[in-house]
Amino acid sequence: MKTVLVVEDEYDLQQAVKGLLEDDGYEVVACGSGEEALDALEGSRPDLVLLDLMLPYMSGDEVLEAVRGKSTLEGLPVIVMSAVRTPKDEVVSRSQGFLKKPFSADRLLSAVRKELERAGR
Amino acid sequence: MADDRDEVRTGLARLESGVPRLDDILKGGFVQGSIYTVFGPPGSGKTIFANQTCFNHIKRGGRCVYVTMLVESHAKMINHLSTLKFFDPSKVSDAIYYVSAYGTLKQHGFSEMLDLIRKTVKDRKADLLVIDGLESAEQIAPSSQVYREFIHELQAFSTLLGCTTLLLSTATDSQIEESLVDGIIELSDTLVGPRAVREVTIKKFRGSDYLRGRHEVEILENGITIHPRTEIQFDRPPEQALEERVRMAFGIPRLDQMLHGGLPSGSTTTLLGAPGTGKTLLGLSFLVEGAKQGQEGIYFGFYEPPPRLCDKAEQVGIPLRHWCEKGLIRLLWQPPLEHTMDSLAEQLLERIRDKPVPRRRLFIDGVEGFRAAAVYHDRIPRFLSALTNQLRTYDVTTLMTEELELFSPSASSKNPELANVAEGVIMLRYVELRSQLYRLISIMKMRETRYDTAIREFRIKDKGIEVADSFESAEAILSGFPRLRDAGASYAPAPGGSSPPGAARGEDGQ
Repeated sequence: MKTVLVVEDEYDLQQAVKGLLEDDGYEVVACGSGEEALDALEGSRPDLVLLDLMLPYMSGDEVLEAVRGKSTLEGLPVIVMSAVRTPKDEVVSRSQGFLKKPFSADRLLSAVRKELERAGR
Repeated sequence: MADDRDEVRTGLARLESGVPRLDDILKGGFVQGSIYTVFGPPGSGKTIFANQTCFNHIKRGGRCVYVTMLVESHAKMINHLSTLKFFDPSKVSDAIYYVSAYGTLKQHGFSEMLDLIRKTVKDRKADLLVIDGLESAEQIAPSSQVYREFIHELQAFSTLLGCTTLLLSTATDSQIEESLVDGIIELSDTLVGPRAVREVTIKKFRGSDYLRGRHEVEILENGITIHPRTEIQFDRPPEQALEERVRMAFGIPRLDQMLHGGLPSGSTTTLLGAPGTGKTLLGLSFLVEGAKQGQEGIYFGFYEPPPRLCDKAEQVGIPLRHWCEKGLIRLLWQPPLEHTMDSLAEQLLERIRDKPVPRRRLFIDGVEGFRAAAVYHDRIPRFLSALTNQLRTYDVTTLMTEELELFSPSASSKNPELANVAEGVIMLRYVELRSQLYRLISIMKMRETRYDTAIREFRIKDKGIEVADSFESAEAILSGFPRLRDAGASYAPAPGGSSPPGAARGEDGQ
């Protein structure tokens, strides 16, 4: 079973994404801040990270920076989620995917499958 | 070197909202470092209000943190905001940072949530904090004491960090917030008859005077605009205009004679009359005569669009189009939409303030337009009084029409208060005589100046308006029963004998 780490501070959205992914057969670890995400990545390596950009304590950019700086997490696919219409290009290029909020369930699941396939997982 | 004594001297530092007119109502804006509750039902505009304040603050170099609880998602909020002109997506995630705190509150409690808010504000170097959906926090609080402590701590760190805080809530009865916060702003959205009316009321504002009472709110593509009540904005009108008073003629010899040269400059005169009596044409003549003398004129009307108005004037020899093209007369037409009374007054006063010139003439065609826009009709007397006072201070000579009923035996005004606020009243009426309709004009009142009290015939001809000799037979005109056909009545023949050359023609020249 593939594991997805969902990093999203909006609790209702976080829970909705978690439920959708679980229904589709994924194991999901959900957290609401960048710090919690890094803690979660210390103990285990998920198959994919869904990362919101605007998070409390640490922003999504900072989390991405930390992930890319860790050799143990090399090649970990990350999909950035944001409602901002004009995301900074460098943020998107450093991640494997970009999911513009709000998104549909189909769009979410298809993006997750695509990134996992691309990463050979 | 500046120190704390400067602040004592200069008063409290303010954070301007930039929401049109709100800073006027708050006499400068929010007090920096203070905490305010903005409450109102869903749809009353709280989120737009707060975001508009944030984006305006960002334009002045400020930084904002927007914390949400159980409200619409950030994605939806941003999508909705993107239709409004103040929203700048390039500022999101840098100058304005949206975070949700509900998950933290639900999972870890108030202390953790406060920690999240405090750290985010400090990390983002924000000087404006918004917490949207605060009612969720109050509902989830295990006791009112916990919630009270949370608000208290929030207030303490807002003050220490100098971060102005807006708490948005749908709760209308939170006594905790009411007692702890520095100010309370209520946004409402109610139905008054068939009309939906948004209003703002400042219920509490520590550290400053403010304009009390309800003010109308509009939400358009620019975001929120507030229209403070005209009568409270100008509750202390300055003295009269400084310019020496002169006479503003109509260019109609007999009428100008009746007025001893014309209307006194800076005065307000009501033109009373039933539909078709010639009020609009007389008002346009007044503007055109001013233009001929180099005086600027403004037409502010509600019924006839400018092309139609020009055509109508041209048909009776009033060269309105010519003076509009020359730029000396401006036609401001208010299409029949749902206006607010105060926004109409603002539009008018802004046009006048934009380019202050002496001896300006203003013709308001249909004071009923203001009445139709009024949500609370009992405001009308104070509103008109404040508006006319302001116009006087700008040396504007105002002529405003008021319509009387077409088929009424009495000349009762729908706006009797106009008689008090206007210096002059001129009345136009029909009289039936020998199966013909005639128009009559009379000056009912002209404060502080002499005038001719005779009733005269008023003719709309191909080459303009004429006022004829005294119409002695129409003694009963003002009683509302002008047909002198009772037994024994000896009426004077109509001017022109059996053929009635002065018989009324329609304003459209028909």
